[in-house]
Amino acid sequence: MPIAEQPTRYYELHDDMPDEVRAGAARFASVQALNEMVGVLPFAAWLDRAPSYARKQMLIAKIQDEVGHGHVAARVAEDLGVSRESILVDFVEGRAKAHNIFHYDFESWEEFGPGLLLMNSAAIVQFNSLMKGVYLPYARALRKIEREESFHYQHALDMTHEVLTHGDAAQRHRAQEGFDRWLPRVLAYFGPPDTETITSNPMWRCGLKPDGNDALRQKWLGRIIPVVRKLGVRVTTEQANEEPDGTWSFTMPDWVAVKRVIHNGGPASQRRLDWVRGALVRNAALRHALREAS
Amino acid sequence: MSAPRNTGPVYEVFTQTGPSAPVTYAGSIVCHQHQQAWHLAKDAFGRRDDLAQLWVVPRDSVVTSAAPYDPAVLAAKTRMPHRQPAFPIARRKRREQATTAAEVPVDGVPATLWRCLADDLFLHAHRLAERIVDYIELEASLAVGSIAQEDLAHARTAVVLCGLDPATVDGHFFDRDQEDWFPSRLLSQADESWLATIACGLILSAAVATAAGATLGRESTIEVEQLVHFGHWATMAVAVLADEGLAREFAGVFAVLHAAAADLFHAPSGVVGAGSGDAIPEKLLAARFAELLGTAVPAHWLTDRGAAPRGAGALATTLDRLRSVRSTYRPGVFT
Repeated sequence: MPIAEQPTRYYELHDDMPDEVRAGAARFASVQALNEMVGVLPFAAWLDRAPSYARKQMLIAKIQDEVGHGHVAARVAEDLGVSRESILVDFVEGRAKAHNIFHYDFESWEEFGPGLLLMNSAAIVQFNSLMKGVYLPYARALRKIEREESFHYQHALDMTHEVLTHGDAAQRHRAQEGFDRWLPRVLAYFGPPDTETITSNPMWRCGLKPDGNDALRQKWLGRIIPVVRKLGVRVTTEQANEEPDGTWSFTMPDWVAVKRVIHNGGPASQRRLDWVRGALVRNAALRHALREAS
Repeated sequence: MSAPRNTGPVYEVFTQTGPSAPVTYAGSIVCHQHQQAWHLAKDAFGRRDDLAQLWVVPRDSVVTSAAPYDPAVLAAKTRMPHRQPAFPIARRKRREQATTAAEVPVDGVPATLWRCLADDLFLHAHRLAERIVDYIELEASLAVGSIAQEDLAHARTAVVLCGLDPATVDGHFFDRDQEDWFPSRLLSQADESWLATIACGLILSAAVATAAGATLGRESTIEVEQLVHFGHWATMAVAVLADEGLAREFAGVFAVLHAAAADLFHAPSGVVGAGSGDAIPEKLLAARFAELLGTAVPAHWLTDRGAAPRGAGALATTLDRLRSVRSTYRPGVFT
């Protein structure tokens, strides 16, 4: 599997850098910012139903963290010439897309833990890779983000453990169903297979994307499947299976369906667009007043 | 402590020794020519090392954590243990070690002022948290997230001060009957706009800071942090008041909420302190509250509403939603 050679040059904001590095870094940072700001919405929908004082505090902290990640990434993008308002405007006008996983809502509290566990662990694997990229302000932003993701990971583990240990049969069943529902979505999150094409990917060539989608997906499966099995989640060999050579086989996502979801064909896509559009319009006057006053 | 005796403008110097190393504080220089400061810093702190970056900042431009900032506000790990990765692990271990599910007793904490303010703080945090993703600016979202968590922490502190066993705080907020809640009418208004959020935040933080200052001793954490919240809402109010259209709308929203808040300093039990029996006249609290609030809004907005009694809260919808997951699990699972 192709692995990017160790870069010989890293870049700070004011360094002379190839155009593809500058443009690529701006794109990565703005995509990250968008996905933090939109990706937090399925979790925020459960704020008023968190079932205990401690769970409420942890969930508010997580929501704040995700918005903070958006803030950190948006700052990197701003320094590269991308206005933060354009990040959300591009989303509502169809020029920017959220990751497939953020086009769904959680249908039950019991689904929340397994879904969050799968999403969060995948994000950690991806960020660990992108942190090796050549644009250092983005790499540093990801280091801060990744540190806070470890809190979310523990939170997700705890929520899943709580349901599987203390829930009744129906609640445990919903948790299992949640895992079954989210596993293919998160497998698709890493992107289409690219082992044959990675070396022609401009982001890989310029050092911003150190690892291919397949490599990251394999790394993630190797980490998360043992964890969920230990929690008591059933994983069929069809869903994911470690082969004798150490690689993981899995049911390949339907990439046509995934593309449709990403292009706002998911069950919650319209809700995401409506919420962001609403916030932009509803709060425009106040946003303007705050900027004038600053 | 003697004052520094610098002979000229001071610049703080930060260096980075390698591309993946953090930028760290190296020291300071005095330099009379601004355009020479960077070169002097290089001579002072970069003579013998390869540096990846060298930053030089006028000391006057640096906002530090010195006074008037309370050092306690930087102790995030201590103040907010729920933010630590180990927190859910520790909770899980405690639960695993418990041999039976904890039966949560119905608490008999009297409805002192602080028990009522705890209700207000909890409900405010509950509503405010949803504003985190009602994007205006990302910085505003971050501030609102902190205010919501701190209000929740203050709610917990307040009921513990009233004599509630800390182990039963969870049940106090999640399992009480509606008839046993005494929130201010301020928290039952339907308006969820940002202008209402700013007005409510101003009023509640001013009230809680005033009550804390009068009853909890000098510069309690609650008072210090609620004054920070007040400062945040006041900054937003200043921006709103500078916009003619928004100012008109804000005036109307504020008037409704200010009138609803006439019951803020009322304690159904008649006890205004933290349950200790100390009595502070409601009128005195109201006067201090008005004085603080008057630093953020025009004085003529602060009409004398008189005092009003708190009643049991009309919280059926809020509490049903709050308990909609909890009620499907057997008691003790989430405590």
